[in-house]
Amino acid sequence: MNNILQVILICCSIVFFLFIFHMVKIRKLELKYALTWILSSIIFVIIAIFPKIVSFIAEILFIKEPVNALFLIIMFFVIFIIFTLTIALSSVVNKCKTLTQELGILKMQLDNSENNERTDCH
Amino acid sequence: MKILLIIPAYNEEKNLPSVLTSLKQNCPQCDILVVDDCSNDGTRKVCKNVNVNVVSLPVNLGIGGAVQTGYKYANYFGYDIAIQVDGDGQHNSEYINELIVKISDGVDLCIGSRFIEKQGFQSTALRRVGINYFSKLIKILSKKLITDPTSGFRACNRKVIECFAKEYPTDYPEPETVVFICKKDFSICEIPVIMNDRAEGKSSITKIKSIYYLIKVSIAIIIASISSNRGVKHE
Repeated sequence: MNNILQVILICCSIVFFLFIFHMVKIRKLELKYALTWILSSIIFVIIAIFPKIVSFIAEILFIKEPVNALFLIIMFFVIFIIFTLTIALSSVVNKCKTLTQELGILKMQLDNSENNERTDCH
Repeated sequence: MKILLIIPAYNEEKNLPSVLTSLKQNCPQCDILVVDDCSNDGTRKVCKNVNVNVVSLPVNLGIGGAVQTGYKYANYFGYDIAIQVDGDGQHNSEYINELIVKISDGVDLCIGSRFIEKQGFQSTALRRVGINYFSKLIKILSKKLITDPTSGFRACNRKVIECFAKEYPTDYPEPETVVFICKKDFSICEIPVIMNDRAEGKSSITKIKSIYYLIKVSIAIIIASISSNRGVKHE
């Protein structure tokens, strides 16, 4: 792998890892959803320091350029993260739906009991 | 026997008054619940004027979410029968008593179908092709002939209310729920009804959406027919 690319990758992946860590620390990121990011950033750091891993993967998968193997790995993580996001989103949508429904029913009951009280007073 | 009429409504202030009056006339023994799906017209006011219970959802959930709110309400307040009626005046309230009779006879879910006697409003030719396709698909997957799987005019008993309160598809729910109910070994029947064309406003399914509708509902039906046994274990 190209030296400049390696330096850039090492710097970026370390900064990236620290940034995510910081975001979790100041509670801007929920650890549950940051886990996929932390995991992938650690692996990026490892790959950047030991680029031999990429060459090895390229070799066993018959990929000519190691850089393509790197893209493959990155793509894998991106898809993995997006998928976990979709799962998280689906669960949030479901929870939001249930809350909306319960809130609607509750508001109606509250309204009705207020009306009843008002008619009782008169 | 406690009976609830669930009317999902989104911007139906023009159609609702006549719908509500005819419902009150034809089925005085039933309670009416309008689910106002965050309309931005006077839907809520119209219902309040005629003294009908109305649940106003704080955000728009779509037809599935609105109808499920009705089933949750029916579940909480112990209704024995829940009947879904559209707020646009397409469904004729004269048939509600027939639906109730069927449910009292022990059928779990009864659908009002406009394609048994092929009378009244039959929808456009293109939509009939789509509905026919869903009917065939359901026939193949669950071996039940349902002539009008997209009909939102349906009645169900306590068991199905509990089911729907727990689990109900979000958008375009009707055909999917038919398969879901078949899979759970509930009984389904249809009665012939005559529907009207909607008086005011537009149908929620436009041309571009209909392609999405076709694909989404097809996949939903297939998934429901393969996998919906997971709910049974909890019972």
